[in-house]
Parts: sequence; C-alpha cells; structure tokens
Amino acid sequence: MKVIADNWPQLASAILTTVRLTLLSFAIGTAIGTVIAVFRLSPIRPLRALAAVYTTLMINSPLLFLVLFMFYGVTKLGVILSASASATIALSVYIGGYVAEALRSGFNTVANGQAEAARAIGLTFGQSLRHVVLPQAIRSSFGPLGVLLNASFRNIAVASDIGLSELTFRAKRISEDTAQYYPMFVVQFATIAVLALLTAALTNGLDRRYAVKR
Amino acid sequence: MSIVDRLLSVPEPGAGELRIVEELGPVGRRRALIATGVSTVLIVATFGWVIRRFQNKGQFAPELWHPFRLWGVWRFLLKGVGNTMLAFGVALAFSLAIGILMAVWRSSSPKPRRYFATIYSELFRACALVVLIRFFFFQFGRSFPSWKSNWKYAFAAVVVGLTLYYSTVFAEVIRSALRSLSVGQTEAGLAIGLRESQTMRLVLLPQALRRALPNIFTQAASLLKDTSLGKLITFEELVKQSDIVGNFGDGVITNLLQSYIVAWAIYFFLVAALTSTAKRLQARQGN
Repeated sequence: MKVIADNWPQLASAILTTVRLTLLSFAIGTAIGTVIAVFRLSPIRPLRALAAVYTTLMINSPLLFLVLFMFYGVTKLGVILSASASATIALSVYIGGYVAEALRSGFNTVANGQAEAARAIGLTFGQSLRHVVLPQAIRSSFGPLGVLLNASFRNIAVASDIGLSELTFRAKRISEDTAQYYPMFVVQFATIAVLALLTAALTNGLDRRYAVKR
Repeated sequence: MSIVDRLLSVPEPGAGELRIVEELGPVGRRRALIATGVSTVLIVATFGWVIRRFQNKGQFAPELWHPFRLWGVWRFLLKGVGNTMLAFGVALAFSLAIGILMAVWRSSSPKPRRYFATIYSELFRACALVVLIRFFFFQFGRSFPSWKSNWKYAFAAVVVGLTLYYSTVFAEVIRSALRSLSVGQTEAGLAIGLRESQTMRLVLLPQALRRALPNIFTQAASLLKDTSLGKLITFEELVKQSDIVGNFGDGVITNLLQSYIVAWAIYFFLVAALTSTAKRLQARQGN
C-alpha cells in the first residue's frame, strides 16, 4: 500500500480530474438534454425531427467512438482539441441524449390535466413548460438522472484511450511504472464505489425532498 | 388540409404521453410558422457548414473512400464485427443466465442464497467496467501464462468483465419485474400444491421474463456498445479494427475519419436493431 501513499498527489489530482470533468459534462449534458426533450414536445416540426434524430444517434453510438471522433477524427477537419476538451464534449453530447430520454419519461408522468389546466388559464407553450410541466418532470426524473450521473463517473474512463489523465489512466501508468498492480486496482475500485455511494445518497436525498407526491 | 396546417399539426400522442400543445390560435400559428422557418434554415445551414468543411479539407476525396470498396479492408473490418458479436453473444448468454439465477435467489427464501445474491449484485454493480476489464486482462495474463495468445486473454477479460457487470444489471431488471407481479400469483401457485421453487419456475418467472423483455433488450443494446471497451485492452473488435484501417498508410494522408464513419454506421445499425426492438416490445405491452 506504500505505492498509494507515494503517488497520492498524482492520484488525487487524477481523481479530481475525473470528478470535475464528469460534473462539467453532466451539467452541459443536462442542459442539452432538456432542450432536446422540449424540442420533442414542441409544435415546431423541424425541431421535433432534430430531437428524434439526435437521441437516436446518441443512444445507439458507443461512447468510445464519440471520444475518438472528437479527438482524432476532428483533426482531419482542422479542429485540434485537447484530450480534456474532447472528452468533455463527447461525454456531454452523449449524456444529452440520455437526459432527453429520461426527461421524456419524466414528462409522461405529468398528468395531461395539468397541461390542459395550463392552457385553460391562457399560458403559452413556453409558460406552461416553464411553470407547470418542466418542474414536475424534472422532479420525477431524479432517479434516472442519478443513475446517469453514476454511470458517467465510470464512463469517463474511456477517455483514458486518448490519454486524458483521469483516474484509470493515471492508475494504469503508476502501476506500470512501479510494477505494483493490485494496490492501484484497489484504489480504482474503491474510488468508483465511493463516488457511486455519494451519488446514490445525493439522489435519494433530492428525491425525498423534492419528488412530486402522487 | 393546407400545407401550413399539415406543417403545424402535432401528432397524436401515444397512450400515457403528455401533450402540451393543442390546436394553435392565430397568434400561435404565426409564431410557430416563423419558428419553423428559422429552425429549418439553421438546421440546413449547420448541416451545410459541416459538409463544406469536409469538402474544404478534402475529406470527400475518392482515394480516401476507395479502401471501402476493397474486399481485403472489409475482411479486416468484418473480423472486428465478428469479434464484437462473439464477445456480445457469449457475455449476453452468461450474464442473462447468472442474472436470472441471482434475481431468483434474491427473491427466494433461503437466507444464504439471498445474502449471496444481494452481495454479488451490490458488489459488481459498483464496479467500473473499464477497470474490471483491465483487471481481468492483467490477472489472466498472470494466472494463465500457458495461453500464449493475446486474443485469448483479451477475449476472456472482455467476456468476464461484461458478464460480471451485466449479470447484476439483468438481475436487477428481472427482480423488479418479479416484484411487479401480484402476490395472488404466488398464492395461487402454492394453493394448487406447487412447491415454492415450482411456483417460481412455472408461474412467476415466465411472467416476469415477459414483462422484463423490453428492458432486457435495452440493456443488451448497452452491453453491445460496451464491447467496444475491448479496444482499451487491444481486443480486435470493431472500433480497434476501424482504428487500424484508419491509421494505415504513410501517417500523413490517412482515412481515419472515413474509417470511423463506416464503423460507426455498422455499430449504429447493430445497436439500433436492439433498441428499436425494445421500443416495439414496450409499445406492445402498453406502458
């Protein structure tokens, strides 16, 4: 276990990278997903089509492809991105597709009477969305969103393939340099487990506090 | 119906789907029409910009696409597809079998089994797939030096990693389907003289599996996508093969982008076959 203590500063900064980039991607992804989910409900046909294409594309692509494409692929189009930028963009758009799907089922838990009532008192599409539908939909989506955040903490590990210095990449490097493999695997499993527990606690807390009681 | 009416009509929502917009009034129609126009222009412009970018950077050059008309290149890619599907099939079979067993054990009465199934599920569900796969790749290399074949190590690591993780996913899906059955089913089974294990096997499990089928397909799609993690341990699956094809050449002019696009399309159709089946099944079950 000495190897963990010796390399702790490196490991800590790698864990921080994992957490920071995941949270950032999740925030951007949630924003994208919300917009896409709203497009899906809107009376504007091209936007509905765009939303359908976007979610289908994201849900059926492996994340590793998006990451590779954003890092190596785009250089062919004259765009040079750092590993962390590529990973963040790829993970954000990927999460966006899943958030859109989660919110879509969240929307469907809102009773149609709510939307009808909003129309009846004269709210426009944007107003009924903002004041009536979206708050309820988001509040009933904490569970799926928590699962998604949890998955994202693990999924960002695929960015080790483009050399992003996140937890699994750094741990692999240290274990190869020191030929001490097991302690590094322990660190990785433990960190992911702790992150999973924290996410679960956060989700449950939010769910208990804000979920719509029906 | 005029063209404008058709453009602004909202499709009938399916059962249980939310509908925010109804028939639009005159102001709403005008707004929606403008938004339709603006969004069409924006979408077309973005798409056109990407196409132009490809063109300006010479990515449509025939010689970059030419390799995909050669059988040798396709044989190479199809080997990747074969490895992907093999890992997928084996991991799916094992993880479904273990998943069903764990779901049954976790829902049944003997305590040791229930505890074992609970610990198994919670333990492997908390693991990161990438780390599991890397761990087994390393461990198999150390434990079985006699294999002497990178393919064997990589294949075994991918399959074992995927199986351990996805068996807990399937166990969870099936367990929640079991719990959604009414107690009357168990009571009826016991009342006609079946043993507890028979009730599970003959009455509960068939219904639960049918109910869980859409979710099983969704998770199978995600399992198929995760076979791509094999690339990280040099397993020659589709992503790895397309990466090799795309980096082949003098290192300056390579068809990396084209290769990714081709392999991406293959992946898309394979995964979409599963996700669309899941959607269809879900619609048929009416929830």
